[in-house]
Amino acid sequence: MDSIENASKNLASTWNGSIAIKITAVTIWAIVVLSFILTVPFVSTFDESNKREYAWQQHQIEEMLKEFKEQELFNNKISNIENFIKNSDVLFYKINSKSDEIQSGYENINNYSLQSTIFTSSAEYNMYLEFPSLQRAALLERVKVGSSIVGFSVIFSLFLFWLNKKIIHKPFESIIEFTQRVSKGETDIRLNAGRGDEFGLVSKFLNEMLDTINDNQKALKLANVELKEEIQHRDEALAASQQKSAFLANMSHEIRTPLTSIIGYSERIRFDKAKNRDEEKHMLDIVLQNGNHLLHLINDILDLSKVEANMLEVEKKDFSIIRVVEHSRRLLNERALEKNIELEISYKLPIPEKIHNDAIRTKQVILNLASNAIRFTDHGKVAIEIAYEKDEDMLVIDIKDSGIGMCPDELDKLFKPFSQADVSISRRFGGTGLGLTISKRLVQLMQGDITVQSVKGVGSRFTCKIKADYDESDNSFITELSNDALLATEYEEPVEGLSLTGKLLLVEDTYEIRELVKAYIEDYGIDIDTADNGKEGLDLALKNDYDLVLMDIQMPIMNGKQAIAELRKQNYLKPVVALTADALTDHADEFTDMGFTEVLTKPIVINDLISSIQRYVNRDKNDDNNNVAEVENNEAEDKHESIVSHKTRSSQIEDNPQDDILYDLKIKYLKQLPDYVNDLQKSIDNNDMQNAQAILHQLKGISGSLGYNELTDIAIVASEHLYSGEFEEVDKQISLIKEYYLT
Amino acid sequence: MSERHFRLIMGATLWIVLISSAYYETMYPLFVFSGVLLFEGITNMRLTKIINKIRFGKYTLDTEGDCCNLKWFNRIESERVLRFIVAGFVLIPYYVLPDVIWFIPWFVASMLILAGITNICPMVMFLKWSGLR
Repeated sequence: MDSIENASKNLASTWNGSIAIKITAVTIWAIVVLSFILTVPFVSTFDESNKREYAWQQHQIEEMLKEFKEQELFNNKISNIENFIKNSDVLFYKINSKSDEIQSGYENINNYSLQSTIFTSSAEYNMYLEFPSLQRAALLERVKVGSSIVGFSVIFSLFLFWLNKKIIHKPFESIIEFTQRVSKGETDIRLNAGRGDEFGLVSKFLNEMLDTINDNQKALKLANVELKEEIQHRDEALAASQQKSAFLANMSHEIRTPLTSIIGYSERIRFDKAKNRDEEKHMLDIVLQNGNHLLHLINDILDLSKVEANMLEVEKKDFSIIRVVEHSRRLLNERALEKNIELEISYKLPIPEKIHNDAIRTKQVILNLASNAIRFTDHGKVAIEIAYEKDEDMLVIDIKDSGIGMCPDELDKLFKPFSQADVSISRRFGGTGLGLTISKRLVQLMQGDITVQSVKGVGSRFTCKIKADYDESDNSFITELSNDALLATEYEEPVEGLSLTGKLLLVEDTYEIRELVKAYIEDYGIDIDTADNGKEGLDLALKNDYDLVLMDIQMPIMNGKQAIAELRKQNYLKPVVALTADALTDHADEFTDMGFTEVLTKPIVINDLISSIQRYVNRDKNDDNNNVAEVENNEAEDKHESIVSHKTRSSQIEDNPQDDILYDLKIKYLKQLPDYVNDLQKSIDNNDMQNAQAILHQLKGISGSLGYNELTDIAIVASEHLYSGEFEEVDKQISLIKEYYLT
Repeated sequence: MSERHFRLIMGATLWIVLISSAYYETMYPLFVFSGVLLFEGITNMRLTKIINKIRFGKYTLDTEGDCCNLKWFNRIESERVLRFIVAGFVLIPYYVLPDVIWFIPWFVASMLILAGITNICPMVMFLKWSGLR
């Protein structure tokens, strides 16, 4: 409003300012000018009108004189005439007869005068009257007119000013104030649009305009938020893509490195390059070690896939945390010894004998965190302390190292997938950067959390808290640990020197896997029959009395699911273990719902297989019965890790001719490979995608089991492309097989 | 005191002067009124300026614009010229065709009062439009 007031001060010169004042001014000017114009013609005739007025007054006086007798007039009985004269314009009068005379006022020669003689029945009068001069009369009339116009214009202008202010200025003022407030951002206010004039309409439209602006702003804000979210998602996706690219590059390194060892040493053994049996054993140790490393890597990737798909689950049971830690001790000790650092595991007692959570996942977390600590420590020691917080029912795993440590920036991205604190770290220390992500997620699933403290160059401390309820009715806490107790929990090899009796049916469509499994388990004293499809397996199982049936899932003629359904339908009550190559999703419940007793995942790990078989076939009488139970327990807990000692593997190879069998299988497989490829190509050409998928499945299974992992990968990729209908990509994969294996 | 107030007072005074001159049949009030205005116009010692000088210690109304770089015509203040015009419009009708243009002093009085009320003076606007300061 200041600007308006300032503007009104300049009205005299700039014509900027209140419209109400302008309207008032213009109106009043018009009225004043018009008033003067209209008045001028009347004022110019004032002389004639005054003359007529004076003559009329003279005539009135004459008429009154006629009614008087001479004596009456001069005996002061003319009061009515005097009264009339007082109220008239007469300034001086003189009346005389033959005998007498009366006069009143001041005689002035400048006055307008009238004379007359009046004859009555009784007398004769001479009358002389003086009126104001015609010029002065006109002047006084002009004063009256001029003053009236000025007075009227002043009064009327004030009234008009008040009226305009009320009718025009006030609404304008409210609109101006409204627009000012809106311009300052107050978009919630509204004008009173109740007036029926233009201001009412303007107010209404301004309100509507503001509504529209508000709606648009809301839509704009929403769009902006969505856009920001999309940008954030895009950035995240780009970052994730970059991280995944880096991860893939790192993975390639992680996978190719052990593969190089496996392939290289396998070739050397195959072509008898070892100087003696000890060197050959050493080479086989390396091959097995690298194979296990690869398996561990693939398990990590699968776990991560489950993390990303929110499919990671924990299975809560009662378990001994000391047993889990001690099982991990040996593996960690080996790694610590390799790096020449000290590993210290301690328990802060009391600790419950059994806690309720997932033993396997707990062990996985401990191994991940402790392995990391060892990996990033070159000197000093890694200390693991296990404690129990009774108040919160939490298991506390505290892992300290004197390693490279991390700065705060590196800590921020520590638990993000595919990212190690520093890219160069993976080159220097190895690792995929998945362990912590998986561990964090696992611990969260176990109702806990991982916290980390670290100082660059000094070391790190990972504190993992896991919800660990215990049975209060039992209420048994370990308050003291003896060496014997710890040794009793140490990892024992389940398969060494084991002898089993029983009859087993293996239903597997792939010849190589059939032969491999057969070779693996025949050494344990088990009779084994084989079938190459579900139908044949069904017939054999119903005809013979097998202790156990091992059944593949994807098979021609009748698949494993159909076969188990048929078996259970016919009241077949013997155990049937499923063998599946699909490890991406957790199918255990699904398979057990179908009727399978247990599920084993390919590639087949001999320990898992034998452990599983042990549960369903008879053990040799010479074996220690107690050992069976312990083996089962240990195997169940170690199922995810599948960690097998090098010694065990070596002794198996040394004692058994399985390596020869494996070699024969590989040779046969490589000879059959061109037929597989040709069949695959024909199936694709004939648009028989079902058969093509079956062949790829076979290639995938056989190659994995015989150690041709690259071929397995190619088969997996080709299978995915075939499923997506990308036949050119399938052809490329077939070309790769031809290039690497058939030339 | 602003020019607006002055115009209001000047208009009202002229109104009174015209009435008194007519009733007393004397030209002296008109001569005094016109004389004051002519004195202000010639000397530029305007009542408004003098009162402002007394009240605020400075000629607050004489600071408008920078007059130094203007031509002589543009340096003349419109308020000074207004005084000449008002004085002229008051005196001339009494000597030239008084029976015909007798209304002009009354009209001027009216317009001065209205200019004081509305703060819009057409004559000053015209003068400023024509180039005066």
